Amino acid sequence: MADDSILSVKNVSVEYLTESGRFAAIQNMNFDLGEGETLGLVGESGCGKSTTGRAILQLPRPTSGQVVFDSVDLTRIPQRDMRPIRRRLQIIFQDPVSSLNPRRKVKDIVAEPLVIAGVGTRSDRDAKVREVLSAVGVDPDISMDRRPHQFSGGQCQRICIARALILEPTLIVCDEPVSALDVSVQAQILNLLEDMKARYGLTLLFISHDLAVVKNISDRVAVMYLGKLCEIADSGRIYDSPAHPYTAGLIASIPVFDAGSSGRGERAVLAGEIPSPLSPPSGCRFRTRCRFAQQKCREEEPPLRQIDERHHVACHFPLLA
Amino acid sequence: MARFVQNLLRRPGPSGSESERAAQDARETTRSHQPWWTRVGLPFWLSLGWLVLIGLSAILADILPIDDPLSTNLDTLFMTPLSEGHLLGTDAVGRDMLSRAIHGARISLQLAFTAPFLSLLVGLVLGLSAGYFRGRVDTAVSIFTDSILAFPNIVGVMVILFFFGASLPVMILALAFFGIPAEVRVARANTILFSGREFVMAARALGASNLRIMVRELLPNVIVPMLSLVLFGMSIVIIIEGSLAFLGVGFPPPTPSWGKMIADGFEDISRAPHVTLVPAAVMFLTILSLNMIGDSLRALTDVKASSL
Amino acid sequence: MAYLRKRLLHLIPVFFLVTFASFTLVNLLPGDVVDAILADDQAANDPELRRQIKADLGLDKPLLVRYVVWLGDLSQGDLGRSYITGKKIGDLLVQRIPVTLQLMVMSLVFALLLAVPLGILSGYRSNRAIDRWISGGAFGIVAIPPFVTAILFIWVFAVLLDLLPAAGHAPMFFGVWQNLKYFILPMLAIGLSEVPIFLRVLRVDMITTLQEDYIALARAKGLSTPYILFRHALRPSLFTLVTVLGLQVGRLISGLVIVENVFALPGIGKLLIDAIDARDVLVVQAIVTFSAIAYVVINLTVDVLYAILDPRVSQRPGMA
Repeated sequence: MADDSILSVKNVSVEYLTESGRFAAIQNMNFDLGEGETLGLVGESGCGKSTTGRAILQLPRPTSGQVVFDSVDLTRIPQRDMRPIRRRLQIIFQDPVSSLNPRRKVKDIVAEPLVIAGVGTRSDRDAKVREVLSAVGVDPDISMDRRPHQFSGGQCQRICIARALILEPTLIVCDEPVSALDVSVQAQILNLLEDMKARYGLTLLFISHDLAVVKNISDRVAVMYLGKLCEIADSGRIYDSPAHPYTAGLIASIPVFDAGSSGRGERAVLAGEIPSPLSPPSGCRFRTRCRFAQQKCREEEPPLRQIDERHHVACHFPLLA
Repeated sequence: MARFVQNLLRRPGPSGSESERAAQDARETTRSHQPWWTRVGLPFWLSLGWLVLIGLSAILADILPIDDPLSTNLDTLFMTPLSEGHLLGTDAVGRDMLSRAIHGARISLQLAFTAPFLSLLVGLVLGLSAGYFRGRVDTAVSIFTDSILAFPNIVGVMVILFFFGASLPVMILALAFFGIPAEVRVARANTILFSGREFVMAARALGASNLRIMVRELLPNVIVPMLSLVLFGMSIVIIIEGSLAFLGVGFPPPTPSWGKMIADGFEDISRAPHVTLVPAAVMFLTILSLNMIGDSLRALTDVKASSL
Repeated sequence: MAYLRKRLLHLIPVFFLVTFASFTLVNLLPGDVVDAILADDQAANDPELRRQIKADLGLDKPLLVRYVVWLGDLSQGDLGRSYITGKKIGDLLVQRIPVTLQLMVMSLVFALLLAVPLGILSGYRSNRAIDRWISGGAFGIVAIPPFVTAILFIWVFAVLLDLLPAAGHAPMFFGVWQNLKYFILPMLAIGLSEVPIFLRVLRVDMITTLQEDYIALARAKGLSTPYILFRHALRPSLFTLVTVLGLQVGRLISGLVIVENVFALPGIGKLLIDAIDARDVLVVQAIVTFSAIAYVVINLTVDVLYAILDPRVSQRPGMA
């Protein structure tokens, strides 16, 4: 894959021990992120998107595989060497209210990364906090001495973004950053992320269950199903000619605003229930909901293979453009 | 202390005119925007008033114009309350009940303001560790606290005083020891609750050490419900001290204690019930006030937690 | 049954910690244990007696060995002999246990008979006037220490009304009523102090249960309110109460000690205070051991009951 990649995730699996044995939240994940790129990671809830994002930050450390960030394998280095790297690797969570400690002031929350990294004096840090708060559109004069519950969800998310930006990181994992917000606020936050990306030269891993949200912000899109990668391709490509039946189904279920044209052809809307991740189906995990499933899908697990220059898919019978 | 609680409970009123606030404001109840002191009600203030009265009298007992609690007067036996010169009457040997009640408060309050805070301190450390690290630490802590619970608290304090000698420091430590499990339970439950919040994950992503996460992120959230428990701890301490003094075991105070006064009066209850009832009422009101304030604080902090 | 196994694995170390703690009590005595035992004895300087006591206590062996030997004796009911009265402590306990047990059972039954109907009513009419009165009353009762309740009962029922004896005990062979009338006031004193806790727990569970869909269904079917409350809502609301019963054993024992002494009932609690007054070290140790073991055993029983009552517990992982 790309040579200029800042992050590569290689064969990463995360397993949890439950009362009924081992359970793999994600299995053999593989993808790269180029510098300055935005990769959208989509899938239904419970498919392991968030686990993937957190595995990159070693929260917790993956059970197997490698996470290479700026040519350092994060899964191999001791915790103490991880700390300086964390300054360049940040995360924004889904629930902005829950992401901010209710008992701390905004200025302390936003300055916390600087304190942990041991950067600057108190007044240096205050100045820096003011700078980032202004950058994310929160008035520092009003907000610095307040506590999170005095802000709306959208503003809390801006504060979270300020906290993530203050150390001027290289990569930010955005874990469903707009899912908990009102639709009107979602667009504002997405625009803010775009602006910040340009201003600070960020690389983003943008996790969402909503393909429509991912569509505009991402350069490339990766689709996950039950802990595995199904398809990864450039954003335009994946929306125009999805190769995996699951991707096609997801795209077909995005609501469209042309009510008149109901006869737009057969829509491959997803049917059926997601199987339990505790006991995934044999062979191809999607086969129980796939209209094109055949005997081979039951017996053999499809590997992720390249079907075009920047297009990989894990399907025995990919849809043709 | 009051100032500290006030800071922790501060919940400022509506402010700001940011457009995004509107939606959030609509979701919050108007109730939660009233300042906390208007939401606690009259019983809270009556209780606080009573405790301040008792506390101040106890502190100022030596300079207040009251009789010596130990001076007997055989001319004034069993005077009923509201008698001249003896507001709360006198006991079997003519000692002034008001003075004795005030001096008796000293023992109770000394214990009430030390032991529960020691329990809080130990409970905080154990509960935070158990709730944060889970696994083996959690198991070890719960075996420890369950073992303490296996010794009934009054019996436990009694026996510790018996074996280690009866003195104020031993009594404080014994009372603190048996108060640990309750504080651990609250600290642990709240730590688990808040550990699941994403701000803890965010701190971890920043490379914060475990100690830093526990102290800076979790402790401020966990200590509030524990503080309301301290007030219940105070009333339990007063009950235990009273019970032990009544039974005449353990700690022999040189000055009167409420439990001892009740025990003394009990012998003459058919002749002069007020000698028993006065200290019993003082004790009742004090415990009731502590519970009332504890309950109000708990209700306030619950509202806070649920609206986050 | 994973839950039960987990609880058992938990209670075993608790058992050893608790017994070890009570075993160590005697060894923690400041100064020489023998001095403490012979504190008021004329023969304190008799070397033969001192050696005898040392050997009896096995003080010449290491602590852990002594603990194991002590546990072994304990398992056979051998708690040694009182150094004051010379009686076997095991016999002493066996003699006193029935009185304490009778008081405990009577108090619990009384507390439940009062708390369950009031709790149901309070939960059913939550935040109405009747609920406020019940909860307020409970709040007041919590603030009265059991020894004060006991005194007030003596004052009202024995002194003012002269209905019941103020103190004492009559064994069963004097007749059931003779026996019971000495237990009524102690029972009221302990039972009443337990009521508020049971009440509060049941009320909260009742409110939760009454919001369930199947209660709405039962109402829609036109079943009568009392039938719904007792037949449909009560059972699922009892689980917390059962757990609380186990956790309250410690509190209950404290109450028993105090009330037995106020009413001069010759139970374990009276024995404990008498032993403390007489500085009877081994009897004090034995009672502490006994009550700690009782706590562990009762909690284990509650866990078993709980698992039998509610098959869901074995699937609840986070229960502690």
